[in-house]
Amino acid sequence: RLNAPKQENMKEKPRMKTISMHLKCSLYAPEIYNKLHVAELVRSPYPNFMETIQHDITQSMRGILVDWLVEVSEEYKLVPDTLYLTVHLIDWFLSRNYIERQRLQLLGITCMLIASKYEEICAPRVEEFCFITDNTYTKEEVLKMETHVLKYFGFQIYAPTAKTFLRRFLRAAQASYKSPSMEMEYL
Amino acid sequence: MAIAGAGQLNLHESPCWGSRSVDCFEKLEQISEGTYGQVYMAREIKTGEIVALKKIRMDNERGFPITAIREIKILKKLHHENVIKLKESVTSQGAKDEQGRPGKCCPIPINNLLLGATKYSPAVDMWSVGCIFAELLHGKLIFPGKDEPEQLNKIFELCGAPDEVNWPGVSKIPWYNNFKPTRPMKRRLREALGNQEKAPATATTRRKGQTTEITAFTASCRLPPIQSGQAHAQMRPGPNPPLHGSQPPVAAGPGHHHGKPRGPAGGPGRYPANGTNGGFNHQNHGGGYSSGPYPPQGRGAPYGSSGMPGAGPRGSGGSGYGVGAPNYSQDGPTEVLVLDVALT
Repeated sequence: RLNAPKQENMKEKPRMKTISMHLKCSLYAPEIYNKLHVAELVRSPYPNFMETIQHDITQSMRGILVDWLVEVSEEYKLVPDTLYLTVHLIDWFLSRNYIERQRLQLLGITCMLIASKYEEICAPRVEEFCFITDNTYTKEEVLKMETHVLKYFGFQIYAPTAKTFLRRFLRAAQASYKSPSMEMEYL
Repeated sequence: MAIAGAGQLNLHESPCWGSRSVDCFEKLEQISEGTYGQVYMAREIKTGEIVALKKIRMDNERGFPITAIREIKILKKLHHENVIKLKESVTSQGAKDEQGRPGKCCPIPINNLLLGATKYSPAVDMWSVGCIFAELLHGKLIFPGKDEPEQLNKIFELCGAPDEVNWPGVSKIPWYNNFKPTRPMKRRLREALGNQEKAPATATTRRKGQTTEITAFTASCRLPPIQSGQAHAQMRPGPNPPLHGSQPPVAAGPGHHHGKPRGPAGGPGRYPANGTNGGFNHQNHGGGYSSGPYPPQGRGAPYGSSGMPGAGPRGSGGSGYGVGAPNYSQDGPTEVLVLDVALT
């Protein structure tokens, strides 16, 4: 136990090591991993929603929206998990809900608002999400959409994403965690 | 709206979830006022059924409070005789209820974080557990600060003030000098929590030591999560142990924030006012969003800046988690939860 370590020892590494020693929950790892797989299956979007449900938006519009959200997440320095969860929420919503192209970006920022609340320490405010759309949508519209989306999701907003599994695989492969940028390339 | 397929979660347990208005209910009296909203006893007009209505205030800055999202999610999943059952959610319009109610602080903020530390660990969760235990023993909030400086002061009064002896390195934490107490304070947690006559004696004696250990200042002095599970049989480790640490953190969560200073998202932005295209020009990716600044961003440095006594990391001046009088919109749509409860 580090009871009175020197100041430099308080830096992250030794401290984290000590803490992680207490958290060897490898006993649970397979169970957690299985649960994540189940959650991924249960909450996966329909692969063909663009053909079956959506008649106004197209694949490329979705692509442009996602590319734009990547930029937004970089601009606001959001963690990658927020971005991944955002895209997941969008696809999940689009799997079952018809949306007009004029409202696709509204869905995008609303999902990012929700995801950032879940993942970020300090989530951007609603106004900021309105602003990045050049105030195409009002705050009231975003808040209304948020309620609508949350109700559709049954308030269950978390789902494992590629990032979740990538993190798991990197750790399981004993990879050093020194190059997190490698993961960033993954999207 | 499609119905969930086989093997899928049916997300629409109740067909009228969120579609009804709160006018379907007649408020009888206010039962209590929780941290996040008032609770009323009400009667459903149509059926005469007595329910509890919990009003969730929409945060005007951030929308639906994440705490409320979690509460609803969890309540929807729990089915147990001792756990209140969430029947449905209804919407109210134009509610003009109590304004400027005194703020109540959620007991969770941790002194490490309040002092601006950006490197923290699962030990912060143990702090939270300790706070909850202490509140169960105490019967009320143990650190009921109106704002963050006051809350820190309450923590110091009860747990003693941090210094280089009990918390090596504390003087290097960004906001320490802004918040350090002016007079020495001794740790008196054991005394304060030991005198709870209402709490069952066994629980008090068994657990107060644990509370003391859990709410120790530094991670190294705090009881580690696994140990607290093993050492005390009455505390089951639970199905979801903390996921950080050496074992791969298989789920997202606070884990990926470790050690990552989260400064303000300052600097010039790249998203211009995009003219007539309404900000979403499908045909011209990149071109429309690559120059021009954001307006000055109101995001404070989450835990990284200094020299702002009173400007807490979670946003002072109204917004945030129970800091001061919340800047809640009182006239927008409000979510109201209908809870099935035996009001005896």
